[in-house]
Amino acid sequence: MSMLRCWRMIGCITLTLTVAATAWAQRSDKKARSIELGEALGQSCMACHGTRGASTEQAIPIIGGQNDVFISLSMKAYRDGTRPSTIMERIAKGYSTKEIEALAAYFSTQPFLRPLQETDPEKVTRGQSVHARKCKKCHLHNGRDAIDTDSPLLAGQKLQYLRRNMEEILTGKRSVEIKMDAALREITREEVEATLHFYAAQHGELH
Amino acid sequence: MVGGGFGGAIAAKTLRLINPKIEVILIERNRSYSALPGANWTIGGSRRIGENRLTYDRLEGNHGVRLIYGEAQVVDAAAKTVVLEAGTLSYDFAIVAPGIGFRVDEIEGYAAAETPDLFPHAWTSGEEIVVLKRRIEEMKNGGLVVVSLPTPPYRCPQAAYERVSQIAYYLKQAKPRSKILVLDASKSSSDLADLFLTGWRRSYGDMIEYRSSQQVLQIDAPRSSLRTTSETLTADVVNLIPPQMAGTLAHRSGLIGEDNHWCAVDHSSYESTVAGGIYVLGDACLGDDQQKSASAANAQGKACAMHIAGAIAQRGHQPHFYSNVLYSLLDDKHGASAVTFYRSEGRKSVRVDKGGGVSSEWSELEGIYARAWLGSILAEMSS
Ligand SMILES: Cc1cc2nc3c(=O)[nH]c(=O)nc-3n(C[C@H](O)[C@H](O)[C@H](O)COP(=O)(O)OP(=O)(O)OC[C@H]3O[C@@H](n4cnc5c(N)ncnc54)[C@H](O)[C@@H]3O)c2cc1C
Ligand code: HEC
Ligand code: HEC
Repeated sequence: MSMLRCWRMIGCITLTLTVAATAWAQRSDKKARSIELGEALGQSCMACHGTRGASTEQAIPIIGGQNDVFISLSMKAYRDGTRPSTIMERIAKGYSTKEIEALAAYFSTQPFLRPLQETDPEKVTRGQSVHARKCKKCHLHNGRDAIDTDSPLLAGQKLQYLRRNMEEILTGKRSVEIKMDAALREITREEVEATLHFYAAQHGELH
Repeated sequence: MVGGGFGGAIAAKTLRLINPKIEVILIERNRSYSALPGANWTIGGSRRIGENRLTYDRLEGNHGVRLIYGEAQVVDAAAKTVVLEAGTLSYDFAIVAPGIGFRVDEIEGYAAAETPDLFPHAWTSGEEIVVLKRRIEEMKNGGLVVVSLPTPPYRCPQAAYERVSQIAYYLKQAKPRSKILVLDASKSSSDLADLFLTGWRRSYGDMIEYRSSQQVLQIDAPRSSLRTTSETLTADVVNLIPPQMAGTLAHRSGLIGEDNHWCAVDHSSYESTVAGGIYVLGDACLGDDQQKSASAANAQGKACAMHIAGAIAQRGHQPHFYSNVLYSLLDDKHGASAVTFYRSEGRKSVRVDKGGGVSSEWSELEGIYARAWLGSILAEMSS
């Protein structure tokens, strides 16, 4: 390799790195601004969803620490009226797509707090095996992860809220991904209820 | 921060959440706060008033807000001090959220000390509901309850309609021959009023008679009679909600605007436009089109805290945009809600047309969420 070519290559790599670093910096700067906007807009969500999205109520979902893709999708679906709700449709309609993404960026970067909930130990055990057979493909790591998927985190979510959503999914009021429908078709109501206990039973610091 | 109600408590907490280096002192006259939302439900019997009581120790323990229990006499904008019975405190920023007071001189015969016991308003603290509830429980079957709603703006009109619903729910079970006469000073007609009127007709038939544009001019509380713009009548129980203004502290501290009743503020920051350096939140301030509610006070408290924290850190802040959400119960189960969006535009607060709206019907699911909202907002402001 000639000296010149070598230098040119180094220059090229440096340039590429610089461009990449700038793009990365711009992206993270953009992300930081989005989170900041989400924090300001998200304040009024917290009266219902709790401080930083850590709901204190069985009826209301935890949104702090939830998967950002899922938060965005839910808000857009509420806004379009394609996901059933009592109040979220009227709320989501107030926000632009950019604002929804900012809200999702903010809440997803908050901790998912999981206080102890009342669950039935027998159902929890049974639910664990149903989860392993039918749900873990999408609700990763016992429902604690959602890397690169649009599925929600379920571990530690409020049991009453999970039930209401399952009811809507099972009765066809809320449509979900076809594959999840398939998973649900092959199991009984009792197994579904047991699985929800399994998710709700996970509490405290999880790794 | 003076006043630990829906506006003040959350402002104090939010300041500490954003920047724990800011020293926040909350001055409140009472050691425990008895919230108003949900107080109406105790008349219908689906809640105990004790569940509405909050203390401030977790704001101290979890967030390091310092509490001083006592009456603030005056906030002095020029000296930058708050005068208390026990001494004087200096501040860099003062926020006040003193709630409401009553314009009792607009009702002839109203005695500030005695009338609230005879014609209870139950409009400044949840605890006051006990007297009203007792009077209704002591009434004979076939009696008449008058509920009088003042001229707007006043604290939470939706709560007044809910009050009527809860009284009706109780009477329907315990004293079904009784009647309720609603004297509303407003010329009401809104989606919300329609939702209530429809619910009343369906659940309570002709037990409730609703009359709009009825202002109470004169009362004789010991004789249980009142004179309105169109008639004189006597009733067995009178729930008289007098016309309102900002709380006393706002008047003493010179924060009242041109309308003589409410505090004038710049809605981009909640800073007083009369006395600079003092910020006013909640029911005490006149929000152009803004509702006086716990939900709005909560949102304003957070927005003001973000503004002040931004000013301390010498950086800008996001313009305010928030939802005001009001839930009500028609009976012990059925709920409905109203959502309104506001945004700051210049120094004004404007209502946003996009989004929001009123429930299309009363539902059990919204009944559950009405209780969940209350549980959540009370937990948020106190822990
Ligand atoms: C029956 C009823 C039901 C309601 N239901 C709802 C509802 O469902 N949803 C909703 O959003 N809103 C509801 N509201 C409205 C809500 O209660 C008020 O809008 C809210 O309380 C306003 O908050 P605030 O902080 O402005 O005042 P407040 O909550 O009244 O707080 C003021 C605080 O300041 C303290 N204080 C005042 N002066 C001083 C002083 N000089 N020194 C020290 N302390 C002082 C007081 O002790 C008090 O704690 C209802 C109201 C009523 C009457
Ligand atoms: C008045 C109370 C209230 C407010 C304010 C509120 N929410 Fe909700 N949220 C609910 C309720 C209730 C549900 C369940 C759906 C329904 O019935 O509307 C819900 C559901 C959701 C869900 C679905 C979560 C899941 O796991 O399925 C998301 C996401 C959400 N809300 C985000 C938000 C955001 C973001 C805001 C603020 C812009 C907000 N909410 C403001 C009450 C509220
Ligand atoms: C093929 C992937 C997939 C499988 C398998 C799957 N899910 Fe899901 N699940 C999803 C997705 C995606 C959503 C979000 C759907 C939406 O809102 O559009 C979801 C949503 C849910 C929700 C609603 C949660 C909320 O906060 O709104 C529950 C509860 C749930 N799943 C439980 C289960 C259970 C139990 C199983 C196993 C029996 C299961 N899922 C299997 C992908 C899957």
